[in-house]
Amino acid sequence: MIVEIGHYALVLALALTLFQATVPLWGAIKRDSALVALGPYAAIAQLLLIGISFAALTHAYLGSDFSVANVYQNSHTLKPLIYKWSGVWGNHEGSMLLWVLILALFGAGVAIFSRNLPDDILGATLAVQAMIAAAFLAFLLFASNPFLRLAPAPFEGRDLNPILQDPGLAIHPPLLYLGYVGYSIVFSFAAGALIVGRIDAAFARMLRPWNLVAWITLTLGIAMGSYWAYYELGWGGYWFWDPVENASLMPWLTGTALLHSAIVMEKREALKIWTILLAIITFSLSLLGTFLVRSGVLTSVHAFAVDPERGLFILIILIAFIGGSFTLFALRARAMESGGLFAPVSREGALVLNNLFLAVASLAVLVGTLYPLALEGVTGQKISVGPPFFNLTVVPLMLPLFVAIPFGQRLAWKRGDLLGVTQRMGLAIGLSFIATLIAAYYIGRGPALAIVAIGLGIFILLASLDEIRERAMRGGTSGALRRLIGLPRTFVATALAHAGVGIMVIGIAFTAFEKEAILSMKPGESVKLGEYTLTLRGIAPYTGPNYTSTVARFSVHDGTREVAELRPAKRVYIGRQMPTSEVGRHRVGFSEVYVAIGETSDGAHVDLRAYWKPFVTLIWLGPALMALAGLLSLTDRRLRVGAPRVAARRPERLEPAE
Amino acid sequence: MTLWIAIVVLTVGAAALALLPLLRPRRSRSSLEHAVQFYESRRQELERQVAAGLISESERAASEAEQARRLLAIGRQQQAAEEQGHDAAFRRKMAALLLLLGLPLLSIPIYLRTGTPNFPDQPIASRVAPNGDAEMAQALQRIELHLASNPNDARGFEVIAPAYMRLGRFQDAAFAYRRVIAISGETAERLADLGEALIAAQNGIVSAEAKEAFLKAVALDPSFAKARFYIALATEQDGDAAGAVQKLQDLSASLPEGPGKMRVEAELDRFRAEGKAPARPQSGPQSEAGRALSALPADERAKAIEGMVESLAARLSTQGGSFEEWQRLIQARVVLNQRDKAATALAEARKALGDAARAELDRLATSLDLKGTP
Amino acid sequence: MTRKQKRLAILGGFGLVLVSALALILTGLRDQIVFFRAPSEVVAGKVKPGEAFRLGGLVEQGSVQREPNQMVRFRVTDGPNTIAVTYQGLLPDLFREGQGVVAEGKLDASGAFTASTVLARHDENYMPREVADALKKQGHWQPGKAEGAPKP
Repeated sequence: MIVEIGHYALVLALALTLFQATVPLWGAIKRDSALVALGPYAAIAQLLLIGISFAALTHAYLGSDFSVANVYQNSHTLKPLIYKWSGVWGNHEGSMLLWVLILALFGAGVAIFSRNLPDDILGATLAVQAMIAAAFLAFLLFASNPFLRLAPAPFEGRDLNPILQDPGLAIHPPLLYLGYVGYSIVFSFAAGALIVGRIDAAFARMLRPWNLVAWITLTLGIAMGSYWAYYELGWGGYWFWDPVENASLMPWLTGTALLHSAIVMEKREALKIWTILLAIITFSLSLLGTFLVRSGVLTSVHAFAVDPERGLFILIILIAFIGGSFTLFALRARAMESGGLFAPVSREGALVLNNLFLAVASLAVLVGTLYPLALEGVTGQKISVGPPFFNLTVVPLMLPLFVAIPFGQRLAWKRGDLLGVTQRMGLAIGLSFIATLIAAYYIGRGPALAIVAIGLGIFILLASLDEIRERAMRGGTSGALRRLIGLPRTFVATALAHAGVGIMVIGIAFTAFEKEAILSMKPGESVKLGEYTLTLRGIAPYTGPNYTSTVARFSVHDGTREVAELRPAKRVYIGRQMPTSEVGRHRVGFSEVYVAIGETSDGAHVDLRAYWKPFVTLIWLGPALMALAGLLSLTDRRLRVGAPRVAARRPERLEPAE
Repeated sequence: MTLWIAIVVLTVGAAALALLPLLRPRRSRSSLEHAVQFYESRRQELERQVAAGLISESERAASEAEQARRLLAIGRQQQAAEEQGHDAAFRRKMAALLLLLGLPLLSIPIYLRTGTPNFPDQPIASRVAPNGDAEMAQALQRIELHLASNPNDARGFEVIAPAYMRLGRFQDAAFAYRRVIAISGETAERLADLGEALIAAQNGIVSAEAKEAFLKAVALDPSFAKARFYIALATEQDGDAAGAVQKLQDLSASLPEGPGKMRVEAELDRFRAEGKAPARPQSGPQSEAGRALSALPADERAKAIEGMVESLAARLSTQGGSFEEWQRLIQARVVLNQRDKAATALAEARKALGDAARAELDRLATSLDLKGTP
Repeated sequence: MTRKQKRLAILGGFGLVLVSALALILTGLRDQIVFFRAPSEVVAGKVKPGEAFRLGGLVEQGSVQREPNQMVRFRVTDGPNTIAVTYQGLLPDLFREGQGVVAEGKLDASGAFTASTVLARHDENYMPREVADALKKQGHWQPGKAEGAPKP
């Protein structure tokens, strides 16, 4: 019965979204605050209903209720409890349910924090959000219903793919979805503002916290996905330019551009058309990502749901929303008069430059991702666009952007002084130059471009930190600490996020200097990896709860001192004869020794792939810092929707309400 | 009943929650009010910046002038909106009506279409396995663990392989049969079992390895019908339809009357129907076990066939199936001399398959001289 | 500079970035793409020796030979035709006989294929799409039956 209640709650949520998509909009157009006020409550009710539905499905998973087709196909009584949990969203239907749950979560979030939003924007935004929810709920119910039943119910489920039995799976898709779907609310705000015709600086401020939330989660989601691939797949790579990865990178690039252009809109009333356009494009790219992942039209290592019909459904939703919003955009474009003027060398100019490069990079990724599809559609030829293409196009587009970061964040609004800025950065430039020279000396020989990139990363990092120092020291060393704490959080957040970029660039650049050894070893043999020596101590079988595995035992020596023992393994899940890799890793500071083994045929020797990866963890620490900086920015009081508290009370005196 | 109570509670609860603001209205916030606040905060920020020496006094003046222009524009918009009439009471009633009626009117019919009311939850803990499937899964698990540490136990692999076949884990079954052969040597039976598992794993394609297994089986036992049958299919898939027909005809001639021969004849019928159409992979492992039966003693065979037919009937009536499966059931009933049951199956098939298969079912009924309800 | 000149300069800068980005993309699309071929297409002579391409099909049953130094030899088939592949390195977890595989590499003068990368897929049921298409062309793949045919 609980399953059926969950099913009905989902249907009811669909009916409710139709209500929420119309009534508050009507209220927004008629400026009737009573109707608008129905929106937030409907949004909260919607979250509760979808929450009930999700809980019901989870309940079915935990109790191994195989009368639910979805549970039968994706679970098993012998599966460890945590994977029964994560199995809920480890499949197509469940993941789409998670998608709409997160959509409802964002709708309810706006509803809860809506006190300071003006009526018209609030009504229109919630209505647009409800339209998106309605489309996806219909998709869920009519094309991929997770609550379909089986009679008679089987007595055993069909398991989950062992490679998806990983703690990373438990967190990665929800986070990535949080980011993907987060941009839906940004889109809803933009479409809402277009509907009521209010596109100005105040709107940009309303948008900002939601933009930040979406950006933070997407940043974390991508970073985690990359980390998951790194340690689970056993290939030692962190980014494969796989279509699914590209699908999350594109909205991230335009979302980052949006974050910057919205600042110009908020502070200077400029770039309005562009900002609204970016909001629409970013969500469109998120939808495109959903389409690419869910339809399996692209060959991808991630595709675990391959179903063209469902893809077609999402494609129709995609076209309807993109087409609708662009029509609205075209109708209102004239109403968006442009605001403040600025010189090319200015904060605004730098942000425009940032937007230009991010948007073009996103375009390059888009072309590379869709070109094989288009070519196949036109000529029938099958091709693959791989890392060489993206390295050729995206890297040259990113480098100038990275160079511009330290300068851009110091330029003044309206008219900046590039020379003065450069002089103020003298210390950072000098220090990073020295640091690069030292690094180059230690690395020895290597590709020049990578050394330049390391220098660039150090420069971004130092220049960003130096800016905080400079602001704190302004007016003398006395009271610097007090001033440091008193600095506006958005300012500190900007500097920290850019420092995060620098850290990531350093990590990526260092991959050019990793040491790799692919070979076959017998117990007792050693191989040298950079400064470390890896010795195979033994090979032993091991039997786990539902797998057997071959475990190789390695010792890692730094000179003569043993620093670690690694136990990489090859697991074979019983009955399925399907192997997975367990990687052995030893961390030294930010660097890692990484070992993955292949299948052993005789137990006397083992094939392995070993790496020395200098500073590899920086690749993920950088984005983590960026996300942290985003959180910091979110807590800035000035950013709270509306205004400081003092001001919030005043209008009540001016216009007593009802 | 409890489900319907829950449905009513959910529906009324959702409607009530959404309508709550009609009783407790939200404090209205106009755009102008919001904009005034926003620009007020901006003004304070500008003051702070001037105080900190970040911008000049003239820049602040310019910014403030810009903001004043914005405010005027919003004020004008607001005024225009307020000049429109007010029908608030009417709109509220409409909204409430829309919600209270619209919600159940939409959701209940949709639910009745997509949902399965009165279908109870069946968590595994509350279920007693009637046919030992759960025990079988556990037994399987135990055997697997045993085999993991005793990879040379042929008996174990012999037991587990058919279990895998039944569960549809064909790759694993093939693996188990290979182990059996590696440990205890080749016999025609074992080779044919391996071949069959390989074919099932490849969705009906007779791969090179499977073909080789069958060829070896025939070499060991030239009269082994199952292997000869698959070799014929392999010949077809290699593009030699005529050769396949030849082989099937030879095989048919050598077989006694019985299900095995029927199966071969059915295959020959397909060739005739296709009129030597280009080779398509044959419909696969569905009926293959049928031929293994021909090796059994007569009474056991009859019992086994009956059991298979009954399980097919049960599956089709609960889960439905393709036209071919229904056809197989109906033909089997006729062969087993259960004409009344055949007629019932035909009627069921008509209902399950609908208009799409009417013509084919009619043709089938005529050919078998069956009177199913049209 | 007058305001007009300034604006022209800005637009020029924009244009320059856009044009060079487009040039990069087009160059990339011309030089950096890899074609996908099935064994039958290779046998038909559609690939020149030394040209990098992706070979997709099923790993032929019983064809995998592991040699010392992590050298692996196997054959990739699409039914009628078969190509021998050599690869040195660790094979992906999902590489199995009878399963779909995509290998990237080059043909040598003798018509043997040397792979630089071998890809298999996350899901053990998942057939790489190009492989499925190639097999469909040879009539060896029936999409509806991927779930495994039931036994009577």
